[in-house]
Amino acid sequence: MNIFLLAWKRLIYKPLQNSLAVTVMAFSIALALLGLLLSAGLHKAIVTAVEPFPLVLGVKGSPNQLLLNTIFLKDVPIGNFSYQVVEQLRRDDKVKAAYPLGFGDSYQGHRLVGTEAELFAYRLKPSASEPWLHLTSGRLFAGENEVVLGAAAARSTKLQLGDSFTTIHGVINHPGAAKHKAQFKVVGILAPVNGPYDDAIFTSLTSIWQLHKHTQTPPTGLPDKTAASKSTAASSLMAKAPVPTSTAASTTAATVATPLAAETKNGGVTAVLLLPAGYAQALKLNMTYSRNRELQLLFPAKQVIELFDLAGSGEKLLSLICLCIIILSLLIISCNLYWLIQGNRRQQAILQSMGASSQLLLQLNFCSGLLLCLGGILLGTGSAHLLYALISRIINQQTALVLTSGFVPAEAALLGGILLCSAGCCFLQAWLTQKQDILPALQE
Amino acid sequence: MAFLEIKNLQKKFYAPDGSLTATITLPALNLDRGKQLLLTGTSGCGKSTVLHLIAGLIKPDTGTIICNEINLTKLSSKALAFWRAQTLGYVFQNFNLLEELTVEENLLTAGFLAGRHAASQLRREAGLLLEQVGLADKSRCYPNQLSLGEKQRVAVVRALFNAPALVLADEPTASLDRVNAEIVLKLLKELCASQHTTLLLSSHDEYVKQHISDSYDLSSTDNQAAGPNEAVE
Repeated sequence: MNIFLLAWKRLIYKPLQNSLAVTVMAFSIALALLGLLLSAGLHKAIVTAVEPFPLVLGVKGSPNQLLLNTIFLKDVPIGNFSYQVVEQLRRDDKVKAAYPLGFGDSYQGHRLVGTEAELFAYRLKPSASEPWLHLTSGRLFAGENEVVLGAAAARSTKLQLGDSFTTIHGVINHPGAAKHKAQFKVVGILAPVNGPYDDAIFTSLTSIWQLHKHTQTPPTGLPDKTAASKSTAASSLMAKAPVPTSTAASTTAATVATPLAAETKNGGVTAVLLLPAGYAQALKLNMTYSRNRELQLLFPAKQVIELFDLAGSGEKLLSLICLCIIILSLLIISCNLYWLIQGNRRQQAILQSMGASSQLLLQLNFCSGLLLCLGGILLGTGSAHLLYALISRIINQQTALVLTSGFVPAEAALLGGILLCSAGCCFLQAWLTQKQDILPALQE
Repeated sequence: MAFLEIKNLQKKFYAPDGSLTATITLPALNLDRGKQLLLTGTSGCGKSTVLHLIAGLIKPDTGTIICNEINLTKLSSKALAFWRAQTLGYVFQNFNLLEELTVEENLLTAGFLAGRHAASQLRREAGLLLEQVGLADKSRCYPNQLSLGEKQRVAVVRALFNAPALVLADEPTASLDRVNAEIVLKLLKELCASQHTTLLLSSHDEYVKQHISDSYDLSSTDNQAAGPNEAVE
């Protein structure tokens, strides 16, 4: 026999009352913790998604649309521009690397991303052991119509190495979507990057250009006028595209005027992932493109910070609500402990008559209360993480964000604070009740 | 010197408005080690109060209680609790078993509170005692699964589990029918005798006198009560 066993027996003797107390505590803790986890998870997911993109160049338009389209692979592309821009950037001293990206088609909701093999050598940090996009099986695309699948795309589509598929026109998967005839073959599968690009299907830019070279007549399923008026990049990667004014106009005209010309080697690109040579160079590039009428240069991190600022007031309100919930849960804990100890007055009196000291009774009451609180904290924490996992899955399915699970430092502070306050409440209740007269309880 | 010596014991009870409701007085009471004494008296004369005072559950206004040369009225609450655990066994009218513990666990708790931590030894002793009182098959039962007679037998065993020097029994048969009352009384007497435990038992039942010949009538002392008062009994 020991104090813990006595405390435990006391709790399980009234299972309904104590289960209710634990459940109420767990609910309030879970709610507060879930808010914290979601906030931290969303922040982290967005930052992880943005991290590989120090600078993005795209057609002039909404910066948020460019951000969504390029980084989160959502929304419709704004438009395309000439590949010559990419070549020009590569000759610029201010640019360390430029990786072109072309969007427009999809397979089962997974966006086809046209790019070049150099992208797969790109490391987020010089000291990184692996490139950002690296293979777990197979090889990179070499010829036309070969693809490399992102980890989530491979999982979702159940495509394996050697499988073939056809894509649909556009980025939205619907029954009436126009289908291309060209078959794409899976030659590689990438490791997860915990970001939107896990959902992507990578192929060469030339494959995209070839695909759309052959579909200048409307693809199946779409009337001519619809194809002609379509403003999405998906239908016109080979069409006229804006070019920076610094580029020689004659070269530009020869490249884009006749998309179906056999001499045309390159088509358009939707965006370029830029690595600046340095921060000062990034600022200079920004100044250059801020004057450009057709193109815009985006700092994705800055854009996200602005978005976070917009959400800031909402977050503050959420934090305030979470704080109120935590205070409420502590009040509930105090009340539960009070009724727990009051309900055990008779047992306490019997123990005193058997020779239990005040110190032992204090320890017993404290232990009972703490066990109750620990139960609530454990159940609440488990429930919060479970709910977070479910919600993360839904968010991942609905958006491009990958909310990773794991320990959040603020969680330790929250739970530690709740535990400390609970311990304080337990001690206070135990200390107050040990002074009570036991005789009336013995005569009940 | 007697094992238990009480001198000039007095306790006054007051109503919430401060008016005096009862005064319990015990000029003297001596009891030798191993003896058995029955406290008798009319209802409200203070039998239970005297037992509560000896057990240290309430403090007297005046007087001394010396048990085995220890002045209980001078002990701190911590020392008194220790004395209760080591030296005293208490049997209540309403049993006062710990409802959330089994019969065996009730006994083990008594051992735990007396500072005895050898679990296997305690279990063995508990088993033997329960067998002695015919409750070996009830060791894992909870108090709400026992009859009234069984509950009081468990209470008696619990009170005697640590072989205390003194057992106080406050109307131990009041809640029992005659048959069970006889069983419990006999049990109490025999166990106390076998352990050489001093027994002080209070009762207003006449048939109890057949079991314990020595008695002390509290009604004969100058106890005053304003009327039926639950706090006194």
